[in-house]
Amino acid sequence: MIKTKYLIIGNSAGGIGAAEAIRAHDSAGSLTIVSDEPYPVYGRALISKYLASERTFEDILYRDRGFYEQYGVNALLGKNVENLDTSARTAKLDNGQEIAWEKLLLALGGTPIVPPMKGADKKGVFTFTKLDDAKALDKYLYNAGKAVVIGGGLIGISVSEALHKRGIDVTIVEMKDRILNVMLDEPASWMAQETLKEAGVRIITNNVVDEIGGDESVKQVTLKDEQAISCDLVVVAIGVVPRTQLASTAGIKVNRGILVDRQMQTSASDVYSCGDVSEAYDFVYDSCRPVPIWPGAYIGGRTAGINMAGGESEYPGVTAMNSLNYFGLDIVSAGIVVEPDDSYEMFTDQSNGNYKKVIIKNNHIKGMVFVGDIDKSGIIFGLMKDVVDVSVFKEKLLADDFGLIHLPEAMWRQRLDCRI
Amino acid sequence: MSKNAANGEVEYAASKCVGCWTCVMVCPNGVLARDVSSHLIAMCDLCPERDVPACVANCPNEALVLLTDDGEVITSEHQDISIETPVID
Repeated sequence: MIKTKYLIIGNSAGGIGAAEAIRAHDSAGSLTIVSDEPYPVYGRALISKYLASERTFEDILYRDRGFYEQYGVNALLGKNVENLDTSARTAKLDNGQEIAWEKLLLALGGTPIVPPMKGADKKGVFTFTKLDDAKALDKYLYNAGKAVVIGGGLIGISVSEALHKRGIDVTIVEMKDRILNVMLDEPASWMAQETLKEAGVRIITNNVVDEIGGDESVKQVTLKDEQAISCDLVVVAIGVVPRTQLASTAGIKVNRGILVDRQMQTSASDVYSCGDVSEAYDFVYDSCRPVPIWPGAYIGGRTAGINMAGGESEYPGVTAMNSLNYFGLDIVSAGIVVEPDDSYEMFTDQSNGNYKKVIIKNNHIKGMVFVGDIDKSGIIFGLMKDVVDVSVFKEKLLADDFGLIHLPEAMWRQRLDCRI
Repeated sequence: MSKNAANGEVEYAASKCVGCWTCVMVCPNGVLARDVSSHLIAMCDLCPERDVPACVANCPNEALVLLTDDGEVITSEHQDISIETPVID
């Protein structure tokens, strides 16, 4: 039986954020991180750069290899937690080992969705959320020429770019009428779609893969309209869902993700959660929902860590926000990107190949999309995050020369004056 | 990009930057710029190779000053006002 004061399940942004925050408050308490992935923490979004052969594993490490030793972390990597008991405060690993903990963080992340499809068990069908996925794909590419990517969302576009850079002929099959339909509005999606097509990626929309064909290995996919596309591999990139099974089996309250309060505590005492597995505060919606983004996991992890170590911290919340630059097109999107009804105001600017849009409700920014020139998006994002009343300068938000100077003097002075 | 806990400076390791622009998206003051040729971030690093940042050292009206954490105010006065030619790749 291993005894540890702090047990963190998950070795990605959330788990590391928590470990760093715990150590800032408690330099001595025993700290254990368990993860089913056998690697030191790496930048998950960078697995596409790894697959593209642009970055090595050393390049995408999120912390130095010495991190665990430096922070006094007992890292049990490549181990699965099979069972949790929140009243006895124990966890059981797949190798039979038991861990007794005092404070627990569930930072398990998400798990890729693979819909029921005939042939999905064939050799050559992949998902793309982990380093091992990138490694498996990398090995498979030596005799592959054509790929079908199911799903035109963020993961689908990122893996498409990597495959394209490796000389693979890529076809994206998207169920809705446009790619990136969750994080972008229509004009921005069309721009992204044009860029991908110009690069040579084939995009099929309003369609789904019915069946993956071949003997042992993938040879083709058949779409619902009976169109067949020959291919050597398939990447299923439909999305991820919170990996909640361990928590729900242990009786912890779960909706779509593990429910947490602003302290990141779950329904079980001394049990915390953060990141893609959780359903935490979103400042645009002013409610809790799954927001699977890296910075949210890290900030939530820090909040949890401070509270686990006896400090006091409240999660400020994040919102869906993404910065993309696949196929050479820079895109930023955050918050609500399509106005839900007439009560929202919309400002757009489309010029010189750029597209900018801000969505406002009751004089407060609720969302934004920038394509091309994204340099001022940070100011808009800051105004949204700080819930600033923009009524007196909202007409200027998308001006080319927009800057802090357009804000009322008291406001820009305050923003520039915040000393560290 | 990380904050130096000792002096509060925001430091930037170009070798680790992949040009994802997340920092551009979240900079509330809009000061981070994309260097599209190198696909890296261009940001103020307070000129670590100089005693006084070039902008302060070369400001003809002493409008730009450097406030240190010790409360010292450094101006262009007594600074070497040699303007280096920027190198453009």
